Amino acid sequence: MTLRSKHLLSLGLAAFALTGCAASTRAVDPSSDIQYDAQYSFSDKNAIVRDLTDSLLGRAAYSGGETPVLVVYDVANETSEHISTSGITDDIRLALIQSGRYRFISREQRENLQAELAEQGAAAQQAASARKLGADLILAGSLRSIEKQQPQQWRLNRKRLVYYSLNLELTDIQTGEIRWADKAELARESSRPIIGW
Amino acid sequence: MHNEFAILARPGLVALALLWLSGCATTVFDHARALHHSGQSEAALAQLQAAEPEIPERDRLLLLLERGTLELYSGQYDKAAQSFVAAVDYIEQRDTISVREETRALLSNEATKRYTGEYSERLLAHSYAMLSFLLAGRPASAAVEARRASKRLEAHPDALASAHFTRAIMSLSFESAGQYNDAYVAARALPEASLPATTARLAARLGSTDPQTEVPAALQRALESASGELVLVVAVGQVARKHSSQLVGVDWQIAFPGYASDRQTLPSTRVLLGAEEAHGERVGSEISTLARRSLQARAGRLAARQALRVATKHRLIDELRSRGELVSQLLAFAILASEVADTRGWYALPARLELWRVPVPAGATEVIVQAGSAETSVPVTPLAPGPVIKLVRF
Repeated sequence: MTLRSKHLLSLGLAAFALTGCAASTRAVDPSSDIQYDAQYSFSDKNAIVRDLTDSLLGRAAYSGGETPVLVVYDVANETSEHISTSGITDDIRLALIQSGRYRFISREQRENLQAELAEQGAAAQQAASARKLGADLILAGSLRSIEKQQPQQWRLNRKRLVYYSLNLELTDIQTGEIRWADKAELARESSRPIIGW
Repeated sequence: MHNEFAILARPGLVALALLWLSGCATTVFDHARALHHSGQSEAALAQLQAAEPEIPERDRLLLLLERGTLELYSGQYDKAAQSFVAAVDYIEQRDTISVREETRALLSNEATKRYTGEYSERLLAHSYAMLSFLLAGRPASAAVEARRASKRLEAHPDALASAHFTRAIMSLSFESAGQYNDAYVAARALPEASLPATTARLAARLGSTDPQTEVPAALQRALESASGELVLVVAVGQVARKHSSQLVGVDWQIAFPGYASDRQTLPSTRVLLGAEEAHGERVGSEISTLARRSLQARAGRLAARQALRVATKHRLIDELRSRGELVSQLLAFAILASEVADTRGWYALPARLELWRVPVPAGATEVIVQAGSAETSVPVTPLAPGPVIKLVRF
């Protein structure tokens, strides 16, 4: 091999190696299922929200005359990850509003609304509007996880199994009766090398 | 064989450079720690933040832990929580063996590797994250850290057997988040009678009685007349520092980290309500003891790596000396001198951490906390519903 060939080969190898280091960005469809590891991701959130809203809309949970008014409480994060569960409640609320089967009051804005009504003055108007802020049903739940890791042994990869479960309940405020309850589950196994560069 | 070791001669220079550079970050941390331990945490934080660009990536974990501690004691609870969570994530993401780092350490020392923390420090990162979240008014996030701490305790049961402070703050985190079953389990994992009132209260919430828990009469009376609960997190002294021990031969040297055999004598603590001793629950951990046990727990693996490094360096030094050139001789000396122990550690930690749960009667205005002859006053009016947490340092 000539010196020139060696140089060309070296340049070629260097270029090949460097292409792997180049930064890149691509658009991803939010509805697609993308997982890099076993941890909770936006794909999981979309899947469990879809399952539970389908379940809730699939049956009549309230038999009163008018369209029921619902207040959504936080989903308690009982996992071992710092997950913002407000993303789950926001998506469920959106899906239920768009269905037209439920009306909502904003728990977050309730104090602001009360203050605004107080500013407007008329006591009768306040009382009427406060009644309007009352809810018929409460939607609440919890997100849980169970995680198992392979014990430390001589091996090249470490496996991790994670199970997630989102439980939701719809409770009648007047009677305390649970009108609907369901859960969505996910289980995933991931493997990562113990030795790296 | 000679050529193989000749290839390693150049990395020897790199090892020398790394040895020289490793001193810079240690100095930055030491200055900040000295200020923190003298009660000037805000000044220490400002100094550490100014020096952050100088701190190498291999000391990233130390930066997060030290910065989190300073933020906590400066009253920046949300920032402290972020730093500790980042530290926990860093530890979890870097549990792989890096071929590049191991090769470099083989030619120099363990301090050239990324610091991933002793088992005790890894656990305490969760404890401090819980504390930061609780002080920031985010009990649900504190409970997440409590679950992560639980896994850490399961992973190293012997080394972390005396981590009672962590279990107590786990119980507090779960209870504050309304997860009473987990709170009860964490309280029951403590030595008997550590948190008798808490255990009994949690058992009652779960609809049962704890047959093994007997609340002392004085504590029961204090609970009955209490209008609120004060949780005191009392830090005493400074955690023991690792030092480097060395065995030196003609052309070989082994350095290994250790702790001084003499134990610190720490003052005992008391909590007073007015002139009388308060009746409360107290759980404590000797952090220096936890650190010693953690180092002992990985002593076998450390010794195996040292043996391999000494053998490699010995062959390399032989190769360099056989050349007789001045540069080779200097390089051989540098490789020998690069054998120093990794004595890095989270030294902003105290020597002892205590968690007190003190029932406070209506009308009380202050609680006095004493450690030996030193004392500090903690104002307690008005106590909000639920436990109110205060940090105290001696």
